Amino acid sequence: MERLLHRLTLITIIFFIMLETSGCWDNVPITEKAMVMGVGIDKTEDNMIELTLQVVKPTSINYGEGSQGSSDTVWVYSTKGKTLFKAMRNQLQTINRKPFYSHVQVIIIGDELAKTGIQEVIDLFERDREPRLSPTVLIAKETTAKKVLSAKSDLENVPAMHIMEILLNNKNNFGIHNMSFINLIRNLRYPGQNPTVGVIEIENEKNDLNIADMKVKGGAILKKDKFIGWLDEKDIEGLNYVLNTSHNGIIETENPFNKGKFVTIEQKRSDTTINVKFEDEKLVFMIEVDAEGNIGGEEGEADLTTKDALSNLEGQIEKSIKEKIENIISLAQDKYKSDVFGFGEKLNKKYPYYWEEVKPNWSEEFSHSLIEVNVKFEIRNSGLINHPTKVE
Amino acid sequence: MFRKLKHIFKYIKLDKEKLRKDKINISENINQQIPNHIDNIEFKLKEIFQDSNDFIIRKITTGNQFKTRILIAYIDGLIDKQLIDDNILKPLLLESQKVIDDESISKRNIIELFEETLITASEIKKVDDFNRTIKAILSGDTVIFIDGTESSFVVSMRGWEARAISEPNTESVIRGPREGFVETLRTNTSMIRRKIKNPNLKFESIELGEQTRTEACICYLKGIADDNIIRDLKKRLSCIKSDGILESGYIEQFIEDAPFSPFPTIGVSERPDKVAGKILEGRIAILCDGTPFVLTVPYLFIESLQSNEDYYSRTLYSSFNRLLRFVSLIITTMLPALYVAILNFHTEVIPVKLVFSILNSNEGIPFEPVWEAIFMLIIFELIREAGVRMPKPIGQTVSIVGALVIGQAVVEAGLVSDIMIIIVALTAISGFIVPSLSEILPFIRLALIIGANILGYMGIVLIVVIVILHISSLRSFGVPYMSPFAPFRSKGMKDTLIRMPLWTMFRKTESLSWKYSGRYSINKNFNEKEE
Amino acid sequence: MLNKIQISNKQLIILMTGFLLGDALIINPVSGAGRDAWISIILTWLVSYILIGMYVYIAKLNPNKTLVEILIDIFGDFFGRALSLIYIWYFLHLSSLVLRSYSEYMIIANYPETPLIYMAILSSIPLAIGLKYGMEAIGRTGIIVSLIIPITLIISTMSVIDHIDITNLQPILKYGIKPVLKSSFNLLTFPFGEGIVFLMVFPLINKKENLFKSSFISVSIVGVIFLLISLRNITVLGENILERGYFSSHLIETIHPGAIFDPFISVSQLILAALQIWIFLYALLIAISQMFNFNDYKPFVFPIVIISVSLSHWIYDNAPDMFRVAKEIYPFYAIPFQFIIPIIILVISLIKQRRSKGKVSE
Repeated sequence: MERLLHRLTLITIIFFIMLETSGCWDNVPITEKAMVMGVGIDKTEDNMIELTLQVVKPTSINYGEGSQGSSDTVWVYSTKGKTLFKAMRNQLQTINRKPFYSHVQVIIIGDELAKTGIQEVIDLFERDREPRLSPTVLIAKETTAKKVLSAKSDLENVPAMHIMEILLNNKNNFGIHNMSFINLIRNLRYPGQNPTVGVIEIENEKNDLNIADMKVKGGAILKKDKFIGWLDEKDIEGLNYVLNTSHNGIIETENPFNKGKFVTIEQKRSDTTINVKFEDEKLVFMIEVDAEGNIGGEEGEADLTTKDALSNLEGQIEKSIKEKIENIISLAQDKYKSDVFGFGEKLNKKYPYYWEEVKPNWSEEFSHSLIEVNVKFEIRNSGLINHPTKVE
Repeated sequence: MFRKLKHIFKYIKLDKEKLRKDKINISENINQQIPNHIDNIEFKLKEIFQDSNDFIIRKITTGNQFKTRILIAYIDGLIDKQLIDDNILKPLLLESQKVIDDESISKRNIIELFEETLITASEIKKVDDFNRTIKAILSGDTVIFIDGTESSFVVSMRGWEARAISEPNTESVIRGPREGFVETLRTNTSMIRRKIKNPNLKFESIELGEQTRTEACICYLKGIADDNIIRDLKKRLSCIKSDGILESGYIEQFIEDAPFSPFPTIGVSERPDKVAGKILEGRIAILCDGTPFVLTVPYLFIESLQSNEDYYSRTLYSSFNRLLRFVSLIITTMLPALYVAILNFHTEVIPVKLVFSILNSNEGIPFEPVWEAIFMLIIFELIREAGVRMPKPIGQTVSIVGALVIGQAVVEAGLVSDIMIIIVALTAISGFIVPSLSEILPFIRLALIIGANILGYMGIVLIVVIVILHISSLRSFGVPYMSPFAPFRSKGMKDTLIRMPLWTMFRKTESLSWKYSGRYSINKNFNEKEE
Repeated sequence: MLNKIQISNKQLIILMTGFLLGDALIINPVSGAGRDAWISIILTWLVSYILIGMYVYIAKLNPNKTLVEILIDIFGDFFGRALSLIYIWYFLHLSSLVLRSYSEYMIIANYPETPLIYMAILSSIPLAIGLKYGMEAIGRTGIIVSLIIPITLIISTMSVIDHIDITNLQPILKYGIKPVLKSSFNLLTFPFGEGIVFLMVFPLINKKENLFKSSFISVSIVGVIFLLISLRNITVLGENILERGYFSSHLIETIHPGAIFDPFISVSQLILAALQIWIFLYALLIAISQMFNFNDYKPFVFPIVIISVSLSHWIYDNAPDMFRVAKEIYPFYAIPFQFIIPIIILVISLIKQRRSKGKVSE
């Protein structure tokens, strides 16, 4: 009995000590966390890093009552610091809650910072356990990330979510380049490959920015981790074909029967395979695209569903796709001299010893290698009708 | 104050040691001879039962020429007066004239005459020990003393007011018999007897409690129940030393394996079909006079998730119900703790859109989720206990309205977040699905919430591991508590989380979910535990 | 005292599997081989059948005897006890190693603010309680809680299945066979070689005929799980992230946008580490009680657990130190315990058995 009493007393004392002192380390009540939805990183004139956080205001969002539009639901604030981590800590001087990065939807990098390299950003987000590897990365074209993040959205409560969901539309629009963080890291680390990142730009410059004034289209090429050039929509289309991330999109070609009028084809899916081989001691890369789609709309009155017309149309589309791909290839080879497609990695996988030899000069070697493109396109159906009504 | 507690504990320890030395079972009777002369008997009886106005003595004289004096003793209220009039008094007074007129009949034969030809009662016993006759009178039998002989007859003509057989409140089913045990031992044994018409069904009775002398009964199927357990059980019952056994709960607390564990190792039931089912599986039932609650031994953890209704419904539905019970067990213990852990430690688990409403509901609440959770659970326990004690007419309404109003008011006052109310409500509802575990749940919930506050998920997992360690080490009368999960018996798994069709479990006795592992512990009164 | 407790074969399988998996998922012994890690896993897997088979054979040659008793039998009283003292130190060191690596993983991946020792203390509470309850309770608990490990495997693999790129395995053996062999040796000593601990546990099994079968089933399951996890990590993450990141399983969980399945990995890691530490400490306690001829090991549980916890705090300076030692120094440190002494025991036991057989046949 005495032992029992001793033990009980000991346990009670320990219990109360634990209750009071514990949980002061990691136990952060949720009301003391500020949910960061969007992160924007810029470089200022005096070489400091400016960090913009888009933080959710807790009391005014109530999802149960439907989205009201983000007039008053987020709070955007910027701080400066010598390094990114310092800037993050400086936020604590104004924000009363602890910023919590696990729900970050989108990371926006200003183009000035991109020009000098995004290595530091990547390192911070990889090392720390809070931010996850899933947000998408965008570069702000000719503007600062701060402006982009302070834009309001009419459709969503949180503008960062709006932007993130735009990026998810890349399945339906060729011009959007959706590069998630994990893919960016992978591409950065492949010694041969240079990454490409999506881009957001402002169309109408205003004081009170709205997301309706911005567009996500095009891309940016980075060499190692520094920005070297812009890619516009057409280039991104070709790039997507090569990288095998092309899904659903619109291709416009000329109507073979009515010159001057256009036929729109809706591509449903596409598949790309890349092969590398040696031909007469020279390196040859072969890109094969296999795509299919439907006739979406027709201007003109011809019947396009005859066998000849269809094969004619298919040939035209194949030509146009091939043009786009060759366009981006020539951009990468001649203008920027950087391997954005990952051919180097493919070479490593197939001919590792040759790759070791060529690696130091890969950008030169890449610019001179032969790339063959083969496109095959099949039209599956033409919708509910075969040709439009004749207008009398 | 500490010293005083120490003194009290020392006293209790000494007291137990004294009792330990004295091993003689007091309820064992020393044989006492019945006095020869009827006046002596009457004197003795009146002395024993003085000041009891329900003790009745009736003296009659039988026979015409060969007069024999007879004394009938009983306690009013325990007997059926009509039966005594018709079956004892009438034949003794009227018929005996014709039968015992022959002078050659000696005194010895009178007893046989009475027993075999005169007393028209169906149950009659010849008793020579005076103490047993006293016990019989107190149990409700009628005792007939015959002058000049040193023996007596005990006739069973019991008839007292008892509750009618009705559906038990605590365990109701949708499909199945609507009978429940009552407070009379004989009626209960008859109900079990009606379910199992097998001569191997044995009822052994034992008397417990020094002052109350309650009759208890062990019931088992010989050949199917394990002999070791029966032996162990009888040993433990014989070591019970108590003034009174008013309810089977007393017996349970005296003979159970782990008195300080929150998990019960002896099962309780109020339904005869449930008890009969358990007897068929090889368990032993302990019935106690005066209570409709019957104990079953041994009791495994899996039984708290089983209900006899599972066997009356079809496979698919009853498997679904079993799984539902298991899931609700997990929900009711872990939901508040998981909520606390996720909010405070692992906020990244919450999907983005849900984060907004959680933030919104937690804004402005002065307390941390831990204290909210503990507060709401205490209020829930208060309401539950009050609902049981309140008088019936106001009971239902007040508890429902009270719960609603309190919930609403507390949220609007800004004391507790509304998501917490939902969580506590879910916890409470799932807690009612497994009623047999309702005694343990508040402890486990509390422990898990505290664990969650200390270290998030890890705290929860640590406490779960401790709980599982504890129940894995329990043994119920020698049978491991966690059979058939561990030690793993694949035959027994047919009836755990899902219920395989009955035709795969045709003879339940063949797929016993446990096997006696050869060691049983000495009874708990001596505070010894064997591994 | 040992004879009272019995565990069944199924419990042995679960205990052994959990034990062998234990720490190896945190400190990846094969990370030196990069994208060819799966080759070294297959190599080690095949060799470990022989290694574990050797341990089981020793147990079969000396039935019902624990390691300590075997040592005293073979080497005589003085040397036997000296060797068992060394083994006691080895088990203690190992258990604090596991405790330390597990605490480091928890701190780095989940609880950045909590101090290291606090994690070890809290985890040691169920450890001590389990040891107090005895091996039976541990075996049964093992069966019930190890259900979460296959669930975790399935969930974490399913959630990244569209990120799998099988060409990440190429080029095979680009850097030659030497790194593969080196990490294969690493894997052999840690964790497969630690099966020597089971020599203390084998006497508890109730059906001794199936020892070989149960052990081989365990080794097979462990090999398959290692291979699966390694292949999955390599194909999803690619070589570069793999060789830079410490905890690849954790990284995989963060790829998936919602974090719902994060806790499963931490929880299963806890269970595995707990099983491993239980066996180490249990072997330790039995060895102590047998060496000094005590009746029961229960009084030593709390002191040993406390020693183990404080030792775990002291052995390494920081996390990179821990990884480095585990990869470079530990394999050589373990050679005498796992190979040299067991081989000597095996040879002498064989000689003894032949001699006794010879005597019987005369």
